[in-house]
Amino acid sequence: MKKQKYKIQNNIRTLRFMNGEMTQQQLAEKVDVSRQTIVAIEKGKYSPTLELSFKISHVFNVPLHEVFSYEIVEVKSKC
Amino acid sequence: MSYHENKNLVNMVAAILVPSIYFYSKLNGIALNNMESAELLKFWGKQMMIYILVAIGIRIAIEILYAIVYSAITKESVPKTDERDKMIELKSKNVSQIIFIFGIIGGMGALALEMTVTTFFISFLAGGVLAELVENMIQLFYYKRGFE
Repeated sequence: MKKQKYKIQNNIRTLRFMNGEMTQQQLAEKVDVSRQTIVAIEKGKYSPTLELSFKISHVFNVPLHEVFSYEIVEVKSKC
Repeated sequence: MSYHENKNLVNMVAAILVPSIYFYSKLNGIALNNMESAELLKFWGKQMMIYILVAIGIRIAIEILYAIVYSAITKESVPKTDERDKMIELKSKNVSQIIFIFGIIGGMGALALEMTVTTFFISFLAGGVLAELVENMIQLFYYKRGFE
């Protein structure tokens, strides 16, 4: 059975690709976090703070809503 | 496994080995049952004070050694602590502090039930070890599974 849930989605991978194939390490250095944190954000395993979200959007020079979105996704229900 | 995941595993091993080896070496051959309460309190107080210093020293040494070994093996610099690490640390500390408090309460309960001072300190120590283990387990869980 599938359940609907709100989740923070992101386009960081696409934006990195569009910005000269920027590596995760390069982005991490620009926003002052570890590469693992960027990996976790891209995979949707960590929702960054508002400050980090703004830093990321500034790096790509796009508004915040083009990097992150709050969308309904379908998740598998446990029962 | 990432730097932090491996570090959690190293910390878990250290959390068991350090107190086990220290207290085994200090308690081996000492007849605690023959000591009087005042003497026993002094003994445990002294041992705990030394243990805290030893544990801090070993923890710092492990941290430095682990960073050196990690850098040598992976050829990467040690990742800096960022907001995600702090958040995970905070989440794990919330639980570990409760466990540690239960260890202290358990020790006080033992004293209230007229058990020996040794029981109090063992409960205190067990609470500390268990709290550290759980803290690292929770961190490992959050690093692996992630959180929103």
